[in-house]
Amino acid sequence: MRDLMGNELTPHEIRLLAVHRELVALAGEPLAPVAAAGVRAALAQIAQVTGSLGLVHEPRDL
Amino acid sequence: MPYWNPKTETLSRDRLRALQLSKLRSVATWAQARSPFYRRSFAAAGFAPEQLRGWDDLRRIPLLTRDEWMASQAQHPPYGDLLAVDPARASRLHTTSGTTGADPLRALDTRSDWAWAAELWCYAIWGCGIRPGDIAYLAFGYGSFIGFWGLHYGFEKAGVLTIPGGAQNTEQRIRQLVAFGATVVASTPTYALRLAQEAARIGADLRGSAVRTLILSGEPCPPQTRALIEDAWGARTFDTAGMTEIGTIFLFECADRPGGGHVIEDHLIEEVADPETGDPVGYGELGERIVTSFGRSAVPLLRYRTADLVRKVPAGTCSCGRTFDLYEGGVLGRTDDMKLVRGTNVYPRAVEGIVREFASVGEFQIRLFTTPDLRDEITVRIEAPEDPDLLGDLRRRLAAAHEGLRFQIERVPGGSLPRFELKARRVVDARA
Ligand SMILES: [Zn+2]
Repeated sequence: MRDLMGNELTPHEIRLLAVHRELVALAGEPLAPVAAAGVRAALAQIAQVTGSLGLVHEPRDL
Repeated sequence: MPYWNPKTETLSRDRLRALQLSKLRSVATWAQARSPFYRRSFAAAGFAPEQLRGWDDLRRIPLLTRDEWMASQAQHPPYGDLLAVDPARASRLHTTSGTTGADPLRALDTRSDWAWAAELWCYAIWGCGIRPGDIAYLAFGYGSFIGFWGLHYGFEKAGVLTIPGGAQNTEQRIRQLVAFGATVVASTPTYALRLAQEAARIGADLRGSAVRTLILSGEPCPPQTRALIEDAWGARTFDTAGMTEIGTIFLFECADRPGGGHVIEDHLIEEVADPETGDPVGYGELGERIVTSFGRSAVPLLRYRTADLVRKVPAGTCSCGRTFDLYEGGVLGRTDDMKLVRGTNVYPRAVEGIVREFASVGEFQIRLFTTPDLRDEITVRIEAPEDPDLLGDLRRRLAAAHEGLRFQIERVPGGSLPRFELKARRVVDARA
């Protein structure tokens, strides 16, 4: 797996990206408000991590 | 660790370009898919995001002006059709300060956009040496103007104890920030001076306080003003610059303080162009900032003409190791704030720089008017104690810096000129 600059991902980056992907998937699930709001808030934060590290860049209406 | 994001802040310029191009493609694709405004403007320019193959393709994207955004807002109220998300998905509404007298722009943000605004402020917070354990005081009225809101969230994110100084007068803020042991204060340069003047009046000892860092934003800040602020506070100042249109900052000064600020280039593209011709200008040349922001999904901003005047210099100008280019001296002014007086260009920032060489001057105002025989005149009104040499010295310094242009200097009573907490408006152009 490579980042947006063409570098191999580090082990930490692979795990961070997996967390991001899992939160994206969960945000599409019919969760109770208590879970849905927390997942959206967490996704907004993890998207900054993966975006700043140049792993992915995905604008999203979240 | 001096860097918030060591991976990108020290990236080679080639890799940085690759990162920017990749983010540019995704944001242009997003804008095309989601924003009616961009669909129209891209079509009119014959541009499609798929054309972004190399760096030079950036210039295929049409420029965006504030007038176009305002027109869009007027035609498609309340937010205009630049918007790329359903307003029901947004979580914040902020506005511009409205200092130009026009209707303020209304800018929506999603949760993710707002997290991005804080993220960019963190580059500045960390970069100037603020760390968990610091105590930050925001001397700012928490209103609909975006101001220091993003910094507030940036402090929280960076693990800094954050004290909101809203809904208080200047004296109350001074007493609070001293009593709470604030180590960091954020305000505009104008307001940092005003806090210092008020502290002197009430006998509060800022130099003896815990404050060691001031984060300044919101206005161009000439070095002479910074020197006055640093002397009054006994603290180091760090310049930042942002704008409501991107929702956050684009520039921060690192701990090495090279006399300018680094552009946050992993999240933005900053071009500098001749404001008349639109042609790009090189390092060291004065030009207008054109910004493309990657982080705001509700209002993607592609090649927005900012009217800010800057001078870009290469990253190597600073010794901190960052590979982000810098704007020497920060934002130097606005393309629209230059005044022509009897054939001479007068920039308010340059006048301020000279006025601030005279430490006894408190507040000041630049007034332009037309005499009955239709001659343009420029008067600098100052609040200052009686001093037989001051008026003449100031007049000579201003004339020498402006091709001999005659300035009138008028001493006015202390406290008679307007005070500013946010963007100062010190130029009154009353010419016929
Ligand atoms: Zn630096």
